[in-house]
Amino acid sequence: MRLFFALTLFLVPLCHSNAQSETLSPKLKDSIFNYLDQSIGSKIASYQGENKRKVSEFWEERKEKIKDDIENNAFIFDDALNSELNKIISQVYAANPEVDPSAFYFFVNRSPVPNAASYGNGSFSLNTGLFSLAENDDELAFIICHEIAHYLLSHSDTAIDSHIESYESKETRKKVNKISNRDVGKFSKAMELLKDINYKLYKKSRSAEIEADSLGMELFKKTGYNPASATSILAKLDFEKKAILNKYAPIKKHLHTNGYPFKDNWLKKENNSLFDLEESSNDYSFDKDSTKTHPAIPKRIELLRTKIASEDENSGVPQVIHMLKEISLAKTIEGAIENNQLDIALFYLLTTHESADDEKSRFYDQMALVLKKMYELKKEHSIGKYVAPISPFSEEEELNKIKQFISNLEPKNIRKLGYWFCQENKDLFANADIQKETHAYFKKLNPNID
Amino acid sequence: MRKLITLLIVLCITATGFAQSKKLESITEFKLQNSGAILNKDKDVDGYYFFYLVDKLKKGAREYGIQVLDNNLNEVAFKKYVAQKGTILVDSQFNNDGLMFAFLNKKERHIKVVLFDRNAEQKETSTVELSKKEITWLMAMNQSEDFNILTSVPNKGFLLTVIKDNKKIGYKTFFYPTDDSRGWRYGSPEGSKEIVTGAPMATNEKFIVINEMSKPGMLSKKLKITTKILNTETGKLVTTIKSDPKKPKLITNGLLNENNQLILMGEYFKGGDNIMKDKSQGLFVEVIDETGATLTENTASWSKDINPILKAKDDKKNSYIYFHDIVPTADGSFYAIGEKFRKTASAAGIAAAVLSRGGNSVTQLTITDALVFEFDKDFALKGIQTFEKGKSRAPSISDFGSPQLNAHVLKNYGAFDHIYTQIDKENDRFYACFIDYERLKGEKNKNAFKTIIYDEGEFSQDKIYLEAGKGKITRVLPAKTGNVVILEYDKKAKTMDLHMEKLNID
Ligand SMILES: [Zn+2]
Repeated sequence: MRLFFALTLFLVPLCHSNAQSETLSPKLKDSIFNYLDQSIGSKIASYQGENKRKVSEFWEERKEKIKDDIENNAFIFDDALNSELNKIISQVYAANPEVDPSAFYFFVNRSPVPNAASYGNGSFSLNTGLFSLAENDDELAFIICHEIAHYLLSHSDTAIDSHIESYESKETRKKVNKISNRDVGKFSKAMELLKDINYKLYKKSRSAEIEADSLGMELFKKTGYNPASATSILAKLDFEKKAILNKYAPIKKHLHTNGYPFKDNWLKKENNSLFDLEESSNDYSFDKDSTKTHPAIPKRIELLRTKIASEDENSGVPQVIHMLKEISLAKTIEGAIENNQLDIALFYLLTTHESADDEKSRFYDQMALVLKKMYELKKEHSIGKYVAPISPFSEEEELNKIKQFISNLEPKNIRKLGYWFCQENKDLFANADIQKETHAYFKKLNPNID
Repeated sequence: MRKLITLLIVLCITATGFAQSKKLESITEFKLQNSGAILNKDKDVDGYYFFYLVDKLKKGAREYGIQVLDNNLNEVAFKKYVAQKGTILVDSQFNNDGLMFAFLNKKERHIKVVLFDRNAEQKETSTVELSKKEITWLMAMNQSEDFNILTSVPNKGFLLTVIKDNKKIGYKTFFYPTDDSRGWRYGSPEGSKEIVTGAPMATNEKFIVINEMSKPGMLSKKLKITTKILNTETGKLVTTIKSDPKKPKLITNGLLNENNQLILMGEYFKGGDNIMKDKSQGLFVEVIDETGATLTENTASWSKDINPILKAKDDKKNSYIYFHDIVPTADGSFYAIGEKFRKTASAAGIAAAVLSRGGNSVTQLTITDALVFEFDKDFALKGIQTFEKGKSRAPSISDFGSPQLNAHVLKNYGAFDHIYTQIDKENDRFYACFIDYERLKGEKNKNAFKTIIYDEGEFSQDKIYLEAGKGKITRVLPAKTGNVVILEYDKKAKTMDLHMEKLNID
C-alpha cells in the first residue's frame, strides 16, 4: 500500500482462497489464458538485453501468478461491469488513436485496497477499492491513463532489468562475497546492502511514477475529462495509515430478532495487547528510515498542478463510476461469501443495506448464507483460515467490530440467530430457493423451536 | 503440553525473506532456535515468542532476534538481543506492565532476565550466576509442569526461581519489580539438612504463595509439604502452613481469591501415612486466611462419598483417579477434573525405552476416561460426569510407590492425556483439554484434541481431529482462553498454515 502505483511486481489479492470461480466460463478462461501465453510469450521473445534467462524466468513466474489468481477467484469477470468500464476505457482509446490497445486487457481485482497496476505485457488491473474511492468517471479515467503510460514507457521492463541488475550485478556479487567471507557481523552488513539496493530501486520507481503521471496527463487531457480530477484522485490516494473499511456497520439493527434478541455481549471487545504501540516494534524492518521519509504523493500532486489550467475539481461526471460502484459492491459481497471471507461480506452487507422494511432484498438471502457458512466453518474449526484475526494496529474499527462479533458468537448463538433471522424475514428474501434452503437448514439445527 | 509447544521447533520456520539473491537470502535468514507460548497461571495465552539466531559478532557474542506475536498471532515486536553464544530462551511471562524473558547460558553459567516494557523497549537486565550442578537440576526441574523458571506477579513484577546447591539441594526465588517497589530474594536456608525444592504456586499484588517440598535425602520417601505465604512488597514470610501430621496432604493446586484468601486443593491421607507410598483418603478443599488460619476445610472421602457414586457407574477393579485440576466456579461449586487409570502389566522394555529415568519398572498405567466431579460449596459431591476417551498407556515409574504418586510424577512429564484446563473467570466457563486416542470401529485409529467445556452450568464437548491426511501434519497449540491455534503442515509443499479457532459451544 505504501508503494502505491509503484509497479507492483506481484499483485497480491487481499486474501486468497481455493474456491473455484463460478463466474468465469471455461471458454473465457481459455481465451484469457491464451492471451496471457501470447502476450507474455512475445514479451520474452522480443527481449534483447543480457539477462534473457532471468527475464524469461521472471515473466513465466508472473504469468503463473496471474493464472493462479484467476483460478483463485481474485478477479471479477462480469459482462455488465466490463461494459460499464469499457465506456471509460474506449473514451481514452478514442482520444489517443496513436496508442495501439490490441494487446490490452483490464482485470478487475476484488480488493478494497485502492490500487492499480500495469503488468507490462498489456495487462492491467484495477482494484474494486478504486471504484469506491473515485467520485467521478474522470478520476478513474486518469488512473487508466496513468497505467497506460506505464506501459507505453516500458516501466515494467526497466523495473525488471534494474531489479535483476541490482541483485546480480558484478558489483553486488563482489559485495555479497565479501560479506559472506566475514567472520562476524555478516547479517548487519547484508542488511545494509539490502537497504541500499531497495532504496535505489524505490527511488527509481518513484521517478517512474512521476513520468507516468506526466505522460498519463498528456493522454488524459485529450479525453475531454476534467484534468483537475488527476490531482483530486491522487489526494484521495494519499491514505497512509488511513482506514479503508471503516463505515459504520449497524450490526445490532440488522441482526436483532424478536425471537432471539440481540445480546450486547456479542460485541464485547477483547483487550489483549502486550504493548502500547501503534505499529510492530520491529528492529529489522527497513522502511522506517528510507521510504517513509519521502512523501511521494504530495510531490506528485504538486508536479501535476503545473500542467492543469483550471483547478475546478468538482466538475466530473459520476455516471459510469456510479454503476461500477454498484456492480462491484454486489460482486464483492458475492465473492466474499464464496471465498468464506465472512467479515468482509458482513461489512459490506451491513454498511450498505438501507432498503425499507417491507421491501424484498438480496440482503436477506446473503445474510442468511453468511450465517449458515459461519455456523459450518466454526463447527469444522476452519473459520480462522478465512477471517483474519484483529490486528492491534488496524484502525478499521468497524471491520474489527465485525471480526469481534464473529469471534464472540458461539455456534449455539448462530444456530438460533440463523433460525430467527430466516423465520422473521421470510417474506423479504429476494430468492425463494435460498429462503427455503437456509430456513430448512436452521430449522433442522433447532428441532425444539416452535 | 510442552510436547505440543516444541513441535514448532521441529517444523522450523524461517522468518522474513528480504533477499532475492540466494546468497543474500542465506545470510539474512533468521535461524529459529525455539519457540513457545507465553502462558499465564490460568493457562491463558498472552502471546507467543520465536527466538532466532541472527548474527555472529565479535568476541563470542551473538545477535539474537526475539519475535513476539500477540494472542491473535499478530507480530507486535521483533527485538534485537545481543548475548554470548550458547544463549537459550528458557521462559517468558507477561504481567501487564511488561514482558520478561529468561535466558540461560550453560557455558557462561548464568541465567539472565530481560524486561521489555509496554513500549517494547528493553529495560533492566539482571544476572544470576549458577553452578554447573545447579543448571543441571534447574533443567531437570523445568521439565515438570509444576515448576516454572519465571512466574508473573500481575501489575507488580516477576519471580525468577532457580535451584541452589546449598549444603543440600535448595531453591531461591528472586523478585524483580515492575512498579516502584524494591527487589528481594527468598529461598531455602543455606544450612538446611534437608533437600528443599520450592516453586511459586499463586501470586497477587499482596501475596506470593510458595509450595515447598522437602525430604531428608535423595532416596528418602519421607516427603513433607509446606506452604509459605510471603508479602509481595517485601518478600518477608507472612506465615507458614505446615501439613498436619494427623492429616498429611498432597496439594494439587492452590489459588488466591479476590479476598486474598488462599484456597488449597488436593488429596489427603491418614495420620501416619506416607503420601509417597499410601493411597489417599479422599479430596480436600481448604480456605486459609492471611494469618495462616484455616477458615473452612471440606473433604470428600473415597470410601464414604466418592466410591458409592463411582461404583454405581463403573465397577472395574483397581481403578484409580488422578486429579489434574480443581476449578471453583462463580456459584461457589467446585469441579474436579481427573482421569481414570489402572495399573497393568507392561510389555517388557516399553517402560525403559520411553522413560529411561524411571528405572526398571514392569508395570504401566492404562489411562482411560476423563471424569469431572461436581462439588457444592460445602464440598459435598453432587455428581460425576464421565467423558469417554480411548485408552492410552504410560509406563509406571516404579512398582513400589503408590499408584497415586506414580501418576503425580507421570503427570509432570506429560504422560496423561489431560493437557491443560483453561479457566475463563469472566464468563464463568472452563475448558478441560485432552488428547483422545479414539478407537473407531472399521476405521484407522484417530487422535483427537478433545475439550470438555463448562458453560452456563452445563457441559458440552468439542473435538478436533489431528489426522489431516497423507503428507500432512495437524497439531493443536495452546491459545488464548477458549481458543486453540491449529497448525497444518504440508510435508510435500513445505507450507505451514497457522490459524486460530475458537472451541465450540453448541
Ligand atoms: Zn504508477
